[in-house]
Amino acid sequence: MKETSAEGKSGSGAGEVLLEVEDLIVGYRTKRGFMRAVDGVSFHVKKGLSLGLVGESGCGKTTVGMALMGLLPPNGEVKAGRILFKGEDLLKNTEEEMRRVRWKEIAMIFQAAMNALNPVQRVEKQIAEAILTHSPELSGKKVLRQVEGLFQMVNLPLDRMRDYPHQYSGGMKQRAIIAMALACNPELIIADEPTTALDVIVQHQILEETKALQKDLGISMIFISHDISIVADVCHDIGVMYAGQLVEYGSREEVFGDPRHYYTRALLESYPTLSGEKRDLVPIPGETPSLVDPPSGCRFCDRCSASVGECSMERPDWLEVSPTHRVLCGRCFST
Amino acid sequence: MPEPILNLKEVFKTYKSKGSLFGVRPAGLVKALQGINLEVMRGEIFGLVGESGSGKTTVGRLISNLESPAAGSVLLDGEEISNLHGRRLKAYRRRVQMIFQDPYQSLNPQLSIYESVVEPLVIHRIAVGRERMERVLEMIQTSGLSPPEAFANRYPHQLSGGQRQRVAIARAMVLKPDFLVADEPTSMLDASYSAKIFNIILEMRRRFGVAILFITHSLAAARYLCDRIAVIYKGRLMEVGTAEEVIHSPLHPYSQALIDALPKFGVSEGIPRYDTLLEVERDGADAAGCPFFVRCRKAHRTKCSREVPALEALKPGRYVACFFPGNGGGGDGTGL
Repeated sequence: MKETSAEGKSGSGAGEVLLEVEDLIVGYRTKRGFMRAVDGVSFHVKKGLSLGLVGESGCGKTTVGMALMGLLPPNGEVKAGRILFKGEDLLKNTEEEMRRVRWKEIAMIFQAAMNALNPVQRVEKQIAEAILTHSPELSGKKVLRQVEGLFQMVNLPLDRMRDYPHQYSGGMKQRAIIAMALACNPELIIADEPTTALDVIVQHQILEETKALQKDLGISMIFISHDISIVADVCHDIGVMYAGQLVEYGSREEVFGDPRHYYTRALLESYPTLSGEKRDLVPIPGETPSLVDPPSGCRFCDRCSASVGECSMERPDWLEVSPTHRVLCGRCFST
Repeated sequence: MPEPILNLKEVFKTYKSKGSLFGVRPAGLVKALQGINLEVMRGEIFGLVGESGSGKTTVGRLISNLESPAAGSVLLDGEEISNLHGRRLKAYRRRVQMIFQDPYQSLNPQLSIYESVVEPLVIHRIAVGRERMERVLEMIQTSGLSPPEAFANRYPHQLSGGQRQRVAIARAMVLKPDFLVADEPTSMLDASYSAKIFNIILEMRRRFGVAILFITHSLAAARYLCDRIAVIYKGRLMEVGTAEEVIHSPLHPYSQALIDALPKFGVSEGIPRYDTLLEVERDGADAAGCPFFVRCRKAHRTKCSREVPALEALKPGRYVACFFPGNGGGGDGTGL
């Protein structure tokens, strides 16, 4: 099997910015009040590179993906911010305009994607439909050829094109979903936990293939996962999320080689490793704060080993560790 | 010499499959376990590592006596468990407890935390009054829910997933069992909560000397917790050894493929690549040979397809079920 490594430099110098998210605030209306699931998140994705959003359940990473696609549930709402895709603010789009962007320019691979296939339709037909919806002028033959091309791209055997989804294994279904996301040649793919339900060997194969495709086709990607090791394996840039906020942002080497936010450090220390000395895992004490009534200061300070009195009072500012590495923590330079 | 508490001897288990609605897949027998032999020592944490469908959960269910084997025996302290009845079965259940994968389903939502944890003591008529209460609170505390009084009257829906799993551990451990089956107790939890659960499991072993079968798909978790590891694939054990041996010098091509599949940045840096997995499965899925034959790059065309390699000791305590263990190979590298 090929090992492809995520190459390319992150940083302001390299690559053109494809997507820029500025101060995004997204929330859900709940019985207990407005819950700010995403609270002031800013990041960008460069052409042909991938950004990993990593965090634990409830940190808002999936909500970011859904907001970018314009697919929030009925009680969800974007309160503020801008989503600039190729310079154009997607939040100003009408539903009709958004529909043209969706799938054609930005595609999404959903969590538990294996359930996203229609069980009573052949896989070939479902992928053809995705192509035809956006390019109705194409002839049947041309579409079929494109579907074949997509099958080859994601390593699915051509003789299984006319199968129904239940005849596929979990890994094959996931590949079909990836093929569908690629169907309209999008410039950006948002992959939300695409391999979470798969076994390690299949997961590895799909991640390697995804990396290769992303590189060969020059697609940009936002990769959402709770698993640090996967994000580190796939992505060029990393954003660590906690309780609705981005708390650390930088290149993969910077975030994992020199983690500065105490949450990032704590997260890394809570993972068991396979190599090196066996060390004691340090769980993060406490629980995540409520997002209906979030604390006014740093949201991690109750669980942080380095917090001092003022941490809970004032909202922390972003500090630059390097031009490409920033941290939302007032104490990240003290050790 | 450590002394075994639990033995599985040539254990087989088959399930009847119903077949699919339109007869695409015929009804038949699914061989979940095919001759499992293993031994868990007193106070040991033994890891059973495998992918979905490998049979690892079935092993746990047989040990918990929730199901009985089709053939072979499960022995606790040398005593066969499948024909236990009445009072002796009840005594067995007191000695062997289980925690499950999903803490959202394994707790009764209508019982408070105290009621959940006290229930086993009521059923087994252990302790009364104040002593019973103290025992329950102490176990809630040992499970990392502190102060216990603050949690006792809460209900599962008021707790996070990590906290619920700690209640499940308290409920299992309140009987002070000799053996605990932990079936993927952290696979539904976030990393920061998993670490807490791992440490509580270690603490339970340290304090009560309980032997634990830890069922997992994660080699990293197994390395952290376990003294010894067995790798299971398609109902057979592929390899057994100490955790460090199996992870740092795996001998079976399947274990090697599992190690290869782990993301390489951070968690497993410095681990060599074995490259034992065929990219395309070869024919012979129905062959009578090694279960890993169709995916193994090192397999020998005739030997491995015709004969199932037995789990044999290479040296004391180190077992592998492969004709060509380690770095040698039967094939020419092309996979044929």
